[in-house]
Amino acid sequence: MGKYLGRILLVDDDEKVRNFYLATFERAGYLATAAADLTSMREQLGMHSFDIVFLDLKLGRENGLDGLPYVLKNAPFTKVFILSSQNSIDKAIECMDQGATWYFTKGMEPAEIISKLEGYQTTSAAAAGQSNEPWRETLVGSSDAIRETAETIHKLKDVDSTVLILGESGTGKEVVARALHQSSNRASGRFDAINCGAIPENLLESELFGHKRGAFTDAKSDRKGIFELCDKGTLLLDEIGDMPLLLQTKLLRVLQEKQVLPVGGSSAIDVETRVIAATHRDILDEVKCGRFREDLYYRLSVVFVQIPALRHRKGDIPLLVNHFIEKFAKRFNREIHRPSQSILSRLTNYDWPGNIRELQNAIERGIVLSSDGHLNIDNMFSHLKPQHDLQSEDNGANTAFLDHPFFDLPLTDAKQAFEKTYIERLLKNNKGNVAELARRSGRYRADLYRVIERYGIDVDAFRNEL
Amino acid sequence: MNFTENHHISKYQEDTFYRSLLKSFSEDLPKVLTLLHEQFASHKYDLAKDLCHQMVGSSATYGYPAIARMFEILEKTIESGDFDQELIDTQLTSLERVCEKITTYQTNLIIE
Repeated sequence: MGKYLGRILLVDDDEKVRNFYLATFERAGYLATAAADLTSMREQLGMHSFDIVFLDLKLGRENGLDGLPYVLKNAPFTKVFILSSQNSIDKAIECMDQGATWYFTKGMEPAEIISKLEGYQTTSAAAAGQSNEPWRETLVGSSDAIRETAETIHKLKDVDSTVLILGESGTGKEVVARALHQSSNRASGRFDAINCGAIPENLLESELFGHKRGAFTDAKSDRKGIFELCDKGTLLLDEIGDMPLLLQTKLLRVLQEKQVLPVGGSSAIDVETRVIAATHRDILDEVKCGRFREDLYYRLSVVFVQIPALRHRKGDIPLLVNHFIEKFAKRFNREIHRPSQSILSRLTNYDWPGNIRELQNAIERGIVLSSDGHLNIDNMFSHLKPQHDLQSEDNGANTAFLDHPFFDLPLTDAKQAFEKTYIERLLKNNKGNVAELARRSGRYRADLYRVIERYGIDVDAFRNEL
Repeated sequence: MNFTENHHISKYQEDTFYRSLLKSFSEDLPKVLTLLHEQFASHKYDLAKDLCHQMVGSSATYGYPAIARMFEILEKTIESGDFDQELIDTQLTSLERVCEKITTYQTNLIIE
């Protein structure tokens, strides 16, 4: 692979088509990953930050277009290119109306697809560069916290320091990381992000540092890791607090020596990759508990950016509301009136535990469900209607689960919230018997003790329950 | 549909990068046709239509617009619901003929 041009996710149910396009994209310089259905697509989007998703319209019995809103909502920096066997202008217009960037017909020559991709990326980069500091438009708010964040980003524009971004889920850590990249002298290089908490431990090392052919069963050819692909660019290590200890040691070595050693390789490769790390965890607490290496913490935290929760900068809520109304009204081609003072005050008084992501979803829901161009508070807060407590005795094996607040969380957080609830439920049902928990969950006891410790679950409390 | 001599040769045949993929595609064609025959024999028309649709996409992707068009015609025939076995057999036979040429061509390429 020559110059790294970006990361592509190809969603197509036909293995033959996947193989053809993966080879084509990789030859051109893209790092390409495939998904056979929308579930795999969502999993991949939880692990990586993709520049482009190629989405097939017909995924077996699934309608590929159903996956488009998910990408637009959960991966706002990703563009969706539709791939279809249907050469239909009406269909192309329908897809682009719903937010797709481009519509390709299968059978278009690979060289033409690659040329269109490169042309599109050049145009986008040029458009982004028209403003002196385009990243400022991505930071919405006028609070002191946002102004300070913008000031920090501005100050860091000429330096390569490692930055640690702290903030609850949904506060916009990736937005800040991208702004740091865009404002820096690496802006013409690659920006990539990897979610250290979403990728299985055995794959993460290879994703980060690459692998040599034959290093493990599925390693059919050499593959560069994300550090090498982002050489002279910026890499966001998201959810760094979830990185396994063994890999933390290897990461520390990479940061100190500026060299990566691919899995199964014998010679190290020089890399000039700027690292930005982010976590929603209390990282000092993780250090204290021995789950995060202290030396790595100091190495990463050269500069801190603490993004406050939305409840601590409520003054920004009206600006954010207007921002999202403009965004979604345009996307859904709706005319939406500015919200009334009483609605704004309801939105401002709420604490938004899911932060900006939750607010964004509420505005989107309000716009989609609006029949008269006005936002309705009940629609916006419908996700808060009777929440079902999985820990209560009377939860029934029921559809209540489908309304659970898990679904308002990012995938990583939802998985963790579910994992904790699941373990507590089994411990409760088995009076704190970890051996039984291991048997029922199909996990090793040693693994479970590690998870139990991570979530701070008090096993004895379940043993002592009557 | 009439075929010129070159419909069994992929548009990407000259690009050696795609050689192994084209070979693998051609090796799968007889299996696809066998499966289609089975689906028609057991009146599983929805499955046959889905398979035809998939083949429209993959044939076009692999640089065989003519067979993509043939699969598309078969897909539309099934979709219309207005067909008899004779029409299906005719269309399948045409497909088999061109697919066989593709497979033979790819096999000979390897021998050469």
